[in-house]
Amino acid sequence: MRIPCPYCGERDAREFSYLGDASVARPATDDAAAYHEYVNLRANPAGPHREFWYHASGCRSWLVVTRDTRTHRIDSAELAR
Amino acid sequence: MSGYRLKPIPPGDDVEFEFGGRTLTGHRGEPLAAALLASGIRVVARSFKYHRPRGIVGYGRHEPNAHVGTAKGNALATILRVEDGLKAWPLNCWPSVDFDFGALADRFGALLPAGFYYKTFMGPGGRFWPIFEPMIQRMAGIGKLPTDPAPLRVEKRYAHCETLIVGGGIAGQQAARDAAKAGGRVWLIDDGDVPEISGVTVLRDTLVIARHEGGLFVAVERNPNAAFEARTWKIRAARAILATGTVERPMIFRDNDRPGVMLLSAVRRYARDHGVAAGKSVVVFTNNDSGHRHARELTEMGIAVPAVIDLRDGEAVVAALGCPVRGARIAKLDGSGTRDIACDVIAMAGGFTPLVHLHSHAGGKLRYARDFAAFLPDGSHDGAETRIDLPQDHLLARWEAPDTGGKAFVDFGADVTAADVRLAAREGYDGVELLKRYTTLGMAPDQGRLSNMNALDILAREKGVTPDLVGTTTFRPPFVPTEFAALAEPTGKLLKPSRTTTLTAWHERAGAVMYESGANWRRPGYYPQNGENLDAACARECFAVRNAVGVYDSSPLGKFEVIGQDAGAFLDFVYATRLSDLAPGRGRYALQLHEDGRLFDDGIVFRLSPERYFVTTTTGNADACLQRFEYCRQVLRPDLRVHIVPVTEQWADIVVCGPQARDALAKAGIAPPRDLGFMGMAEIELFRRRCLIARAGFTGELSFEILLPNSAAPALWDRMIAAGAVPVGSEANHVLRIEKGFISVGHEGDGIAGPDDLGLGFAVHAAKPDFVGKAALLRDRTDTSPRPQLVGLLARDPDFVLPEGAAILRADAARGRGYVTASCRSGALGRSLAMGLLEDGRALMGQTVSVSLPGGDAGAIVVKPAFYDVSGGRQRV
Amino acid sequence: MADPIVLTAETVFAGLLKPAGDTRDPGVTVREVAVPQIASVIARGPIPSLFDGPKRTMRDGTEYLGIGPGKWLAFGAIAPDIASSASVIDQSGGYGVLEISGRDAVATLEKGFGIDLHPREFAPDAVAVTTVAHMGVILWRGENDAWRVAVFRSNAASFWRWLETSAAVFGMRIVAY
Repeated sequence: MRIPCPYCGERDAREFSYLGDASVARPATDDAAAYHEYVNLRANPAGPHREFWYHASGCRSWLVVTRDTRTHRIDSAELAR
Repeated sequence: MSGYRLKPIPPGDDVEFEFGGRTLTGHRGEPLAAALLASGIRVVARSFKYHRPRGIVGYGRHEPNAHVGTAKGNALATILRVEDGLKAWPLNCWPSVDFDFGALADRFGALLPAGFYYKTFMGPGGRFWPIFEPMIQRMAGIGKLPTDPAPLRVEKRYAHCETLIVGGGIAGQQAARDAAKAGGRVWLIDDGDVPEISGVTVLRDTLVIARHEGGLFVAVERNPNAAFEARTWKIRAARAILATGTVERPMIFRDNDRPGVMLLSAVRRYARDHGVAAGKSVVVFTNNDSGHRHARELTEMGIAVPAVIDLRDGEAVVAALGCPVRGARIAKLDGSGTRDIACDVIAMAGGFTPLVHLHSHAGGKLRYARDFAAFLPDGSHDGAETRIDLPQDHLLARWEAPDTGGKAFVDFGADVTAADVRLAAREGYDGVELLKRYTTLGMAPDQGRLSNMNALDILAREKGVTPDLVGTTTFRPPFVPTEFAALAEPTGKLLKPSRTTTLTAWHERAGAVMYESGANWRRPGYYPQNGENLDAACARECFAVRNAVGVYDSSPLGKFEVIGQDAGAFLDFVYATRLSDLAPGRGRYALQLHEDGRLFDDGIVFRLSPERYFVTTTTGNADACLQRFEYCRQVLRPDLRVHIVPVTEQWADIVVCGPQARDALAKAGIAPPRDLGFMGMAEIELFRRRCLIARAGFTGELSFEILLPNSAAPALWDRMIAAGAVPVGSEANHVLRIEKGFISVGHEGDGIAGPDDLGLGFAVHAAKPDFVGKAALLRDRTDTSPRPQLVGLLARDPDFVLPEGAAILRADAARGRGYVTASCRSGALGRSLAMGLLEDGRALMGQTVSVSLPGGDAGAIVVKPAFYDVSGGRQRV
Repeated sequence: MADPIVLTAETVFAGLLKPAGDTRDPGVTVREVAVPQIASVIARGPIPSLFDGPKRTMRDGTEYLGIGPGKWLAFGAIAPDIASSASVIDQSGGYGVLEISGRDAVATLEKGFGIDLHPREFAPDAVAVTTVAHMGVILWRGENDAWRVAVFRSNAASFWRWLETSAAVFGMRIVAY
């Protein structure tokens, strides 16, 4: 798989490490239910998925990559910040 | 004699070679198979399961039988080139290819049906398998592994191109010419010879063994230059054209595996390309026009073809006669009209199976093309387009002759017969994947290239469906068997880098036993002197730290500078410990948690100035910490103005520890600031360089940690040694920290324990508004099961060192309740010590638990996890 | 201090560099580039004089390599206007730098670098932070189009082992800086 890093250009996926779902937002800490969901629950969609990747061996940027989990097709990769 | 040369070898091109002890003559550079055929050698191997005599069936890569042994391991006779001094021998035959004990298996073939091994040896109880496995292995054994550790000299290369064409046949060459006109880098790869094409990079003698997603192709080139025997390419191609061609499909009839039964395409290639007639008289058995077309070519080349038997005419070759073949038995499909034709080759022409492996490797889908009875790529896939031209040969979708008893093979390499496939289907193994595993069909080195389609056809007929509904097994890389040496760097030297500090050379000169530790660092375990063993060296090093002074190379420690006006707020968020209130020049032990409240990492964080912190992490987690720092900075708290700079590589870190540390520093000419208290950090100048000195350590003694530019480290280290400091390795460090009850994230931080479990609640500042892991840590626990808690363990026998990792059992429980995390022999306490994580451990103080050991359990008393200088006075002096 | 020792400039590869293969007509030439000053430069605000991307900028004799958004690795003294709008952290002891040139330099690099080194893809001022043989490295093209590689100090010995293994077939000579 190739990830088009917005800074470095297209690179092999081996240069990146994967974190997971980028659509989750860290909730206010006093909301136990939301926190439980944030820490423990993840959707596992078959299809387009927004996910966090970290360019560990490159520019050290965190990216939000939109990837089709069925085909590994990548539609976009942008800086998370 | 059977095969012969259509024209003599040109003078000077003849070479002598050896096969199975016989000296033969061949044409330099031709495949060994051609030379064997021309020499009339018909039996070249024994089959895998039944040990039936086998000859050459195919050409090039697509040969199921003719595996031969060479000094460099097994090779295909159809690939191996004849050259001076070539020495090869047949496989699977003991004592010889002509008489083989294993062939008894063939006599009793009825006793070896599909699933035989499972049914017989692995049935209820499975008692027999261990007894029979070695015998079966020996009988089946296909050759010997080469003993040379690096049998192949291989180099690696990456390459990139705009267009990659795999296969240099007519279609491939045309595609390359077209692509060259369009521009960009065009590569053409073929496993044989291809002419030069202008504007195209041609790799010859190179086989593409895999296609991965994103246009990554792996290819192995043979004999790229004088220094290497192979070169493994990883080629990234924007676009690819797969012109990989086809392989001919065999026919199924009694004894179709006898030496002399070949693919017609192979007979034709040996004649056309190498001037070798496989036999004097060739009977062709076909189900389509290609049989007739290619038979005519043989005739034109002067090879006798007494008959072309065509299933479409209602006639079949029902049996090969003789071994090797002396004739073909022909009959009508209803069994009538039996006649025998004398011949020494029966050439099978069952149509062509496209080689769609590369298309499938990366996940391309296939569709069934009824006209050709073949699976074809369903469009292009991931930038790769398959171009395989199948001639319209009016194929009759039938390959099997009427059954006249005996064995009719579907898979020559795996010794699977048509009857085996039917039996599997009847026994319920009627899915294509099940069939494969039950019969081993397609598991031979040719991976079913010749057999899969015929097996699918039989299976489909048994199930009464069309082959597309049966489907096909998944093609996976590599396309052909490939040496490990071509894939993995064979010497191991380049497999994994190791990291060294500026002092590594000193440690090695001092005779230290070096350990591979976290994050690939090579560091000294201990420094044996005068023949000391580990225990003696470790005890001496510990004694020096407790009673005099030691010096430790802590350079691998993870180090970061955190800079900016929000640096304090940022660290308050990342760490469970409050760090924003640290005074400049002070440090604090701090914890990082996972969002679920478990311990992630620990370390000491110093504040250098209001906007500048110096952060240390564990060695093994340094990269993971950086990733997490950046996650917090870029994703969770982009509002904070802060920079994180890894400086692990910039600073050497030398720890001087022990009651005489101050004196040793003085002798070395280093005067720490008078007011530098415990957990303080200050800048000092050493060797005209800015350095940092801190009162911190991991031993519980008076300890100075000196961070200095790498170039200055050897000079300082030498001075400390000259001042009498004893070099201390990681073994002693381990003992010293256990004596103090200090945790090591790599031992006690097991991914389950939280800060309170480890007795580190003091380092969690829950009053902070937010930090990673806070919510999980403070929520009401709904799970009331007992928590693992850090305890000390004193073995009943003070001379016995409990093994790390051993399970701890409570007296009232049969199940494990915990485990030993760290253990040592302590010189300071004159006995063994251990730490462990034990469920509800703090409630069990003073009680005896048993530690489960293979030779019988050992008793241990649960105590607080601190053994030496429990008040901590020594490190604060 | 008793007897201050004056240290010489960093040479991370000192003692490692040895010719490899047949050096009568070497295809690869290697020299260590001793850099007295290396620093991480991280922008706190806009720095118009530096290109914010994976490229090399020369300013007043100092080479700035773009290694991440708003981040550079600088070889040489930092200009005051840059220092005033950036965090500057000394990394002088953290890297070793080799210059690799010669007829077979690219073929050598292609034995370990998975990125495309074709001039169209890797222009003369391009910089890449990537890996070779499981080690993090920074690759760029420096003066006279020669390739330069910055390697973490701790990886110097392992990187050298990779380089000499890869270049031996072409013949590799060492030249002094």
